[in-house]
Amino acid sequence: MTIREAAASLRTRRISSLELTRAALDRIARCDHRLRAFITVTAEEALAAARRADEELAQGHDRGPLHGIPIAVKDVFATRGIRTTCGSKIFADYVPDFDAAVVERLRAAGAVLVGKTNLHELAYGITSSNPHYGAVRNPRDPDRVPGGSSGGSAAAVAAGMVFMAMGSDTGGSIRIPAAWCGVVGLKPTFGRVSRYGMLPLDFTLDHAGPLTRSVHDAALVLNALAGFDPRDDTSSRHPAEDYVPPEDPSLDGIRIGLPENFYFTRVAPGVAEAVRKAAQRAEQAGAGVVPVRVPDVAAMNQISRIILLAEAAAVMQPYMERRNEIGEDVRLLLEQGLLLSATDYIHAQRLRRLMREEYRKVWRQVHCLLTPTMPVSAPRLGQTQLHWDDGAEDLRPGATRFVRAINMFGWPALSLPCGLDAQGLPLGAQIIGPPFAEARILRVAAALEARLPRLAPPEL
Amino acid sequence: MPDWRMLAAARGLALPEEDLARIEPVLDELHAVLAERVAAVPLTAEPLISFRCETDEDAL
Repeated sequence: MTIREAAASLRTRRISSLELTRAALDRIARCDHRLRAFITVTAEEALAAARRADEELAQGHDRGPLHGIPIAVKDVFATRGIRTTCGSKIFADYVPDFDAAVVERLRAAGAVLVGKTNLHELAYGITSSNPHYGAVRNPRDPDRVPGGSSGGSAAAVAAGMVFMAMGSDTGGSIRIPAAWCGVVGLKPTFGRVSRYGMLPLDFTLDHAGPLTRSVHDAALVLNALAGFDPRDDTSSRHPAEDYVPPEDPSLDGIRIGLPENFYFTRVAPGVAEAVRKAAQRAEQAGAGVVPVRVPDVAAMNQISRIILLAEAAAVMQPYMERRNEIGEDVRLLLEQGLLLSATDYIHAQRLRRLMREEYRKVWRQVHCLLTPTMPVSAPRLGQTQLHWDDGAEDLRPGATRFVRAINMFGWPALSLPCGLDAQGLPLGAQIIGPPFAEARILRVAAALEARLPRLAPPEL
Repeated sequence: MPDWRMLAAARGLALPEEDLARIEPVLDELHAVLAERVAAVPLTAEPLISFRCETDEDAL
């Protein structure tokens, strides 16, 4: 069931928010000992919020499509009175006295928070194999990782525990787990959704966005979240709009770029085929699909890594005396960042400007790009490398090749399930657009979703 | 290429030997890409960190 379907049932009284919330909590109780998608479950608060939602709806006080819908947020978003660990032992006892902006907005929209989802430690990694709160498992195959860092959010949505879970994305952390778990993941434009109250990994690359079971649901959530927030220095005053796409939208007049370099090299069998099939579906919906050349995205990824290493090290430097409480993979990244010089960092930021100018030329040719989200389907737990005919590469840089660079430019992107590989694991197609083109991206995604086979829910 | 061990020592970071051994090749690779690219950066290219000096509404 999607948010849209649940919202319709709530309004016809076929179901209540209390029933939906109890079902969510039951599902969590039955499945989460295996999946480890949650760090904290807020059952009592959720049931109370659901009762309030039912009362309000009965009284005709309708807060909109999220009213009464059980949701979760990644444990990087501050929640008043509920611990917010950031997946770290260091913050294990941190209980904020305020709500993050996205939590405020979701509560104001009537959503029912059932808990805080597990993640890669400090949101700094792509497996969500958290050494302190358990390794999140992929609901499609529990021997595989869900992706990360928003792995708990993706697993919770894919497993039917909640209708939506918030994630954060610094170098792909919404889109990676969305692709590997077979759900929709939307990274809005930098500044579109307030980051106030989101524990930072990186000051200039972090984004907040939803993971959902449908494109329409992602649009509904963005409607609730988008808008200026004076408490976030990077919040944009660009006007928010209605992001919900029409039913089975036409793509007449939309030019979609299919990269002829970089994005289709070193990909696993089935990945390129699935994305090219999605491109054919876009053509059937009226879009023009044209080949485009993109600049040196590999170099952009490296520059983005330098910025992330330096900024994340600055965020965590005050806590490095407790480095023994940080998992090995994250500790090594923080230590790398501490060794970069201020000059290195400034050079990377100068290159960031030049690279943006180079890459943005693509927006003079096409309205959006269609690429694979990931070069492979979900790896096995403990896997550290990707193997290709011409050699191996480390999982982290290898798997983030197609998602990392655009965070440097703040551009919006969405990952949409586009099929299964030979092992029955989900594959994702990524739609990237220019700044504030969320409505366009969601329209393209909705048209593709209407023409691609729906994934069956995972068997748990 | 920077001597990462010397830098770590100079900054008083006291990083364990096994960490340094794993960090060095990664930083070498990143630094090589950076150095190659920086050589072509125009002198006037400013970093993409925006600082705006804005009016102070509380100022007298």
